[in-house]
Amino acid sequence: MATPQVPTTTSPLDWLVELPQRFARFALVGRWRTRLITGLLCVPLVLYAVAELPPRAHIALSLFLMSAGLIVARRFPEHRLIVVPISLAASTRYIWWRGTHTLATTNPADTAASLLLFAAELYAWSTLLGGYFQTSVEKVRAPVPLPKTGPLPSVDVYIPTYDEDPQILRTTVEAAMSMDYPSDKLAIYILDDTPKPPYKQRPRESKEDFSARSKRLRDRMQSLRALARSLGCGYLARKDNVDAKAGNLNFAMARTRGDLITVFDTDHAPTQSFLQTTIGFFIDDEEVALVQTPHHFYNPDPIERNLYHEGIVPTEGHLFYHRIQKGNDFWNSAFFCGSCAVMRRTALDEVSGFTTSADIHTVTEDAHTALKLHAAGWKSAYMPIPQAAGLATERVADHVGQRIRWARGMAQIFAQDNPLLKPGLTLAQRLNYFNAAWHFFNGLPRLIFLMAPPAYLLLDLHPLLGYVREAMIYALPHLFLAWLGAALMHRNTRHSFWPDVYETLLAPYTALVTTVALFFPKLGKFNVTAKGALLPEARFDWRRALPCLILLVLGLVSLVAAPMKWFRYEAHQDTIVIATLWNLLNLGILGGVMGACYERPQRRREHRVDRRWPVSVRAAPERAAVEPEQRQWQGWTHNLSYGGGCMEVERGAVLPKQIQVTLKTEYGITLLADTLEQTRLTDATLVRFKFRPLSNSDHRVVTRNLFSSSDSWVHEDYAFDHPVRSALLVALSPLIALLKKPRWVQRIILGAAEEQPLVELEVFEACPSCGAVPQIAAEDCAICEYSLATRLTSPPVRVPARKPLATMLIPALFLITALGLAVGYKPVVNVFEFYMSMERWTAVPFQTRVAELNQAHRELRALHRQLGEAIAGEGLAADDFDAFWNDWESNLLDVQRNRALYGEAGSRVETAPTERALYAAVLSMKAAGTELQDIQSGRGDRVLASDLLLSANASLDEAAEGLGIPLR
Amino acid sequence: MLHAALLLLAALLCAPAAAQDAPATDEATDESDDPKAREAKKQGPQSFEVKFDEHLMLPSDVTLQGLLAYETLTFTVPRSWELPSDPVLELNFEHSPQLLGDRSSLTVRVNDHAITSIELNRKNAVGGTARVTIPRELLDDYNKLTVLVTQHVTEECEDPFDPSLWSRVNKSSLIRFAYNPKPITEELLDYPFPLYDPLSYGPAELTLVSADDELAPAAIEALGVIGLSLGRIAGYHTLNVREPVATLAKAETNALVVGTPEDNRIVEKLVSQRNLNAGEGLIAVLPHPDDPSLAVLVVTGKDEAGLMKAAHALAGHDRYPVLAGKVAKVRLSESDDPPPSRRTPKPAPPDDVFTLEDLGIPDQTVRGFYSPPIRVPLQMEGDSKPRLDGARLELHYGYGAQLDTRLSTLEVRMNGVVLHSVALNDEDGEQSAKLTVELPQAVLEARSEVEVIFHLFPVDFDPCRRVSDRMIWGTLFDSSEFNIRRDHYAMMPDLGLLQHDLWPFTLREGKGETDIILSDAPDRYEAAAALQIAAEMGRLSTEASPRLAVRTAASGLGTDHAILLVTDAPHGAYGALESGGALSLTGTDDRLLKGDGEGELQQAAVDSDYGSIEELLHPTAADKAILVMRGADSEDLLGMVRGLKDVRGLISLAADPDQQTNNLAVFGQIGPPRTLSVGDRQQVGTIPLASRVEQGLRKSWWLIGLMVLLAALLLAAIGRLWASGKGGRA
Repeated sequence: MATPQVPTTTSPLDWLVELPQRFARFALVGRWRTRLITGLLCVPLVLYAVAELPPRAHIALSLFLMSAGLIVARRFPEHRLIVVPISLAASTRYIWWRGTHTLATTNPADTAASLLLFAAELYAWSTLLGGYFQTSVEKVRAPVPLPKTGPLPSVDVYIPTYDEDPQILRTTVEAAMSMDYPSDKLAIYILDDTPKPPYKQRPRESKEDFSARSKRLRDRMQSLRALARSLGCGYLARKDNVDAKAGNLNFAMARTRGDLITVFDTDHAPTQSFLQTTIGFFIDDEEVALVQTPHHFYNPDPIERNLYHEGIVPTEGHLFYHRIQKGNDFWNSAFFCGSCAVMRRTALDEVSGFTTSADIHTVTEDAHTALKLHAAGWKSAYMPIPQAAGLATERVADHVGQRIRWARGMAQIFAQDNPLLKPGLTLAQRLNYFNAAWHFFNGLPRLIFLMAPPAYLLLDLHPLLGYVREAMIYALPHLFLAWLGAALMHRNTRHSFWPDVYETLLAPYTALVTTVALFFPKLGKFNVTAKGALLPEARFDWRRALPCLILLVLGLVSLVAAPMKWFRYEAHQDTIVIATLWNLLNLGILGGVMGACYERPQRRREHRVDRRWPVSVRAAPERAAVEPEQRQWQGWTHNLSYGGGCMEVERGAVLPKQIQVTLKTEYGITLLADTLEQTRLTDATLVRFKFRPLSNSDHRVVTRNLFSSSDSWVHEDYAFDHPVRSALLVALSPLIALLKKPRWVQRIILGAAEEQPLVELEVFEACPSCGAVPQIAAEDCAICEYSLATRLTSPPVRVPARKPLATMLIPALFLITALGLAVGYKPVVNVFEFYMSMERWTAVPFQTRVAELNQAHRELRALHRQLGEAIAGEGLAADDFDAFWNDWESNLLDVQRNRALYGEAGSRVETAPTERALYAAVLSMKAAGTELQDIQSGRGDRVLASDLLLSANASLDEAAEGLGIPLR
Repeated sequence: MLHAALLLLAALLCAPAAAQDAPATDEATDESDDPKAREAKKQGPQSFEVKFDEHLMLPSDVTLQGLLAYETLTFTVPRSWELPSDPVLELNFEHSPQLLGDRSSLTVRVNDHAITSIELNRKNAVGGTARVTIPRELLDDYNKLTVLVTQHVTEECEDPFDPSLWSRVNKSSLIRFAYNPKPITEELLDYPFPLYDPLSYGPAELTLVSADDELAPAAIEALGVIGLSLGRIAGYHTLNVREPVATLAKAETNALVVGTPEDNRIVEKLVSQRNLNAGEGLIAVLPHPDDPSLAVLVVTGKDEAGLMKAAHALAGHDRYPVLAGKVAKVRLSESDDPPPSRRTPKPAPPDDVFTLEDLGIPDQTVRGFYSPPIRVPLQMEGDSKPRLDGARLELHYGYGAQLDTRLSTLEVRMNGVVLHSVALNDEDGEQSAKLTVELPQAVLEARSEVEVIFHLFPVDFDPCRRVSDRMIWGTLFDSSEFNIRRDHYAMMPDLGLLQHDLWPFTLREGKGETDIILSDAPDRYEAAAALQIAAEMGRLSTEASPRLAVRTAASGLGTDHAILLVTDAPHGAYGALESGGALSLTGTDDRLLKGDGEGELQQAAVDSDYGSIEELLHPTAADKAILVMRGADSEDLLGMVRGLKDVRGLISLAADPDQQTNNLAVFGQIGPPRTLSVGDRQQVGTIPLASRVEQGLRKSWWLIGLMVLLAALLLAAIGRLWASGKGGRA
């Protein structure tokens, strides 16, 4: 039995940890004391967020706090909560500065761009806040054991179905019927909601297709009824399809009597321990109305499948079910996710059942049902061990369709029954529900972030008024600490940049859907997510990729335009570089989206499940006549499905074409199969085989084998985030998709996969009577029967290991730099001085200097024009020329003196290029003037004077561009 | 209109200084005690030169640029003048020698009548002078003098921005008036005329006449009331109190006689009191016995109550004209507010948000290629400290539709520092646009000036096409709004703060009252000094109901701000301060004025004794201050008080190269005052916690980092412990 590795603190600095603990104990005595102390502790954070500091102080503080964050992340990851307030303060500081200093109001276009970008940033900031709230603390529950004596509540299991493949439904029903629970307390129902006649012909559907579809649907009802009869479960069908899934569930509720109601989607097959691990919560606490378990998918979603990173990069769902729902559960706001959940009938009755159009119009009735339950004062629990598995969407189109439904539904709830305003909820519940809905509004902000660099590089819009270097010293700490905080909070459930790929793919759609839903919440129908789709050939999903493709093209054009702009606008080179870097980041993500849209073929009807079971193989019975001495081979399966599988047998074995495979598992079975392919490896032979058609009873046993083990799905775990590797993977996504995971990329991916969890899962010894059941300790080893004492323990929180001291070099460098700046150590200050003026707030403000330079430019233009006219003219009388010359020269000197045009000397670093240009213009004009004098005296060269004038003009143009003055 | 407004602004800014430097009239400069001279003046017409720089408040030469440019000045003809001949304008000018004489001209207009036009040719390019007679019949009380130039340097189309197109009207130009003084009108309905003529040049002059050396307390109190009201009425003209005299014959300006017949024997000679009953007052305006162009105002009463009634009636006469005729009896009159303040622009009100209208500045429009800056003086309380990032100016402006949006800009400066510049390309700009300008704490001072400059260029400018500058204009609306969050605190005592409208003694909204405390038995010089201060306080104070008490020291120090006028005469309040050790420089007069050889005093010693001004905090009222103005004798005291209204004099009190605050200034007959700091300073007013924290953090910003880290550590620890207590984990 492996013991969990709990990180131990051995650092000499550990005593520091003890002091805050003591203080915390003191602070937590009495509610008011806690509030007062917490409020007081927030004061420095607020101060930091809003204090206006000179750059030197600002940079020093930023480096100091970034260094503190890095030290925590690398040496004290178990104290990750420390980073949250620091990150919040840095981000709020950035947002405060953006809101108070950088909103452009120069012209309507810039103003609009500026407000849009700021709104998007404000949105991002609010989701950061919400994210921290949801993930900083979490509740990780272990199943509550069922009582050994006393009556158990009766359970109705609803499996609603619409038009899915009956074979998928069969698996689910079989798995449900295998659940360990007293049969007299368990009733399983297929809730057949097959579309009812009269059917409508769809646009562009031929008559033949229409009649075939109608027939298929009619037949489907028959087959489901037969299925239910053959499996011995209940069958309920209604006359219409009103209110879709919610209506179907409510229909069943009215016709069944179980104390508890369990809902499985058509494709969600539960393990045998599902009820044992969930029912206990209801017995333990009568206020519990809902127990939700994670949705686990045994096939990859289209993005991870198309990009070949199954099991390497956590999916969106993994973050939600293994981090966010745990956080929600802490605040008693775990949501109902539509499936794999148990609910108390009395609670549902109290809130009038599942949400239908009688409550509000929403296509995510599950979340709203939970919202109603919470508002009515009921509790929820989240049992984080996967106890059922289903099918993820197979195609990008289905994935997009499903997320559109979620986004629409949550936006509808947001618009019609906003959690912030709904009576009966606690503040935390409000915030969590708000976050859940608010998250789906990310489409529009994400589009803004994607379009901001092209808007600047191509259209010359300025969404941020100010000096880009200054913006960077505000933005970098904010971005860095937000990234660090998110990485620490999400740990191994989220890898950097991948959520961006997911969200970017969906952004154009969710932006539209949420916006529409916000204003017209009653629009939109429930669409059932298609499962089990097939794709014979690889193809690029142009339709889904089109919006992102347009953005990609825009980004690429911007990338080409950037160097031209860079050479043309010398004064704005910093901004162009930053915009280009931002654009590159966007392009990487958009590349990932393009890769994800290149769909791999999906030819298997049945998804393989990774299973490593012992098998014995021998020739099929019909071969007995041919081979009287039957040989038997031993081996291990790699994966299995109802259709076949892959196994490895001893090296050198040559299996006959027809074989019989015996699975040596808890539910052992022997099945006939045909070998398809045998591959010789160095130490084994890899055999791919196909089962012959399974009988109903075989199918049921295979289902038990594949889906019923309690620990079937608990092994899913991911390595901790490695940002560089993540970035590389995202950037290479198009290549990976196109080249079908080339070897050199595979090395990178495998490199990521090889990273083993540093803290092992807690593993319990196998039950001697019913075989190996890791993670499950059966106290009386009766799990194979109706064990009432099953104990399934949640895995402990995985914490990344402390990094070696060598990795402290970067934070140490930050810290030393911060100290150098704090004490004003010249060599350090000079490094930053090169970058920007360190004393901005004590000298002439940036805006002021720009205003002066604007005036200088205007005045020089006037003098330039006069000089041009004089040079082009026929020449003046000597007296007139002297008067002209005196005036002109003194005016030029006045401009130079009054506007302090002396090149870069003494100027602010950020205006240096403009100052240089204006100074060059002054020098050229002086030279041209001198030449004019010579012309007047008959010695000068008019061409040279004109050239000098042209040169001055070019310098003035350069200055104008630096100052943002449009040129004619 | 614009130029008039600008003139007014300039006048307000420069009035005290100019007034101090410049004699009020030729009478003032020429007058002497010699009766022959006075007689000679009466013989023939007198003359007066209205100088552009001194009297028309033209601080610098006027440069006229472009093809067509003009400048308008306003001059007055004082009411007491009778013009026997036409005044002569002596216009000194110069212009660009490149101007073509046959196409360039200078035209002078008076009240829109052209009176002359001069060719601007090479001959008069430098040192040109035009002597023009202004027909008398064109003149009115207020007159508009316009100098208009048409300038050309070529025969063809011209660039109006050509730097050769310039002319300059020198500030040394003047209008020479010959006049005969009119006899005064003995009519109280005209009050404040002839005591004060709003059309006159320079400050109003007044001589206090008292036959007795000592003035009665009631007369002193009445002087306070009259002084305050006269100060208000005179406004920017200010009121100069001359040295008091014992007989009317010695009074060379308008005279003021205050007191009951018992206290001031002259009263009895001037007006009969026979018909007066107890409690009744009497006011009379009489001609000066020696000079009918001068007036004598008599404010008296049967008794002290009557005297006060008369003083109050006089103070309220501008709003409730109850006085008529040569002599008016006052039976019923109650203490009322003095006349409303005519000060403009006004100081900033105490609220954070105020508009230009609140400052008394109306909409301002500028026109033309070279439009002058619109100046907005901003005068805040002496102890006001703008908060960091807490000051903004929201400009509401509009401009002509014919502007080139690419070139035309609006520039905002404060105290000479450019704060913002914005292109005039707002779509709504032709009606009303807004611009918010941050006023940096480093630039914003208690006494500041904002300049709003429109750089205007016509759209599609074509030199060959006539562009009227009427087309290009910019307006700053009076709804423009300052938002200045400020704290109020100062280290006191500090004489430098007096430059902010005699802060903290000025009467401001909700800021308490001020007492002027004279010696136990004040003489006429001290009374004149009190009158002078009262007038100054009246001029500066914008409060609707200022309360200023002028009294003797007999009633003690009181609990308000106090200005002690001290001479060698016995002074109860001063004595109490001295004996209580409240004064930083206690001891004998010798020590203060002669110097006793000790370090600081030795440095401060002056060549000849004159006086001192010392500011200290009130010994019993924590937030009140006392200003001790001490003269070697009462004549010196009056001199010092008269100097007090000179802004430059006040600034010199604060002028310390080390930026140290001073609370003592020692005056000599020659040279500037010597200032030094003696004793301890205290903070008056409270610094709000937020500002205190802000200041602390600006000094020790690194503390923020430590505090944030500490807070994060503790919050994380609390969060972890709390979460585990709730069955969760962090």
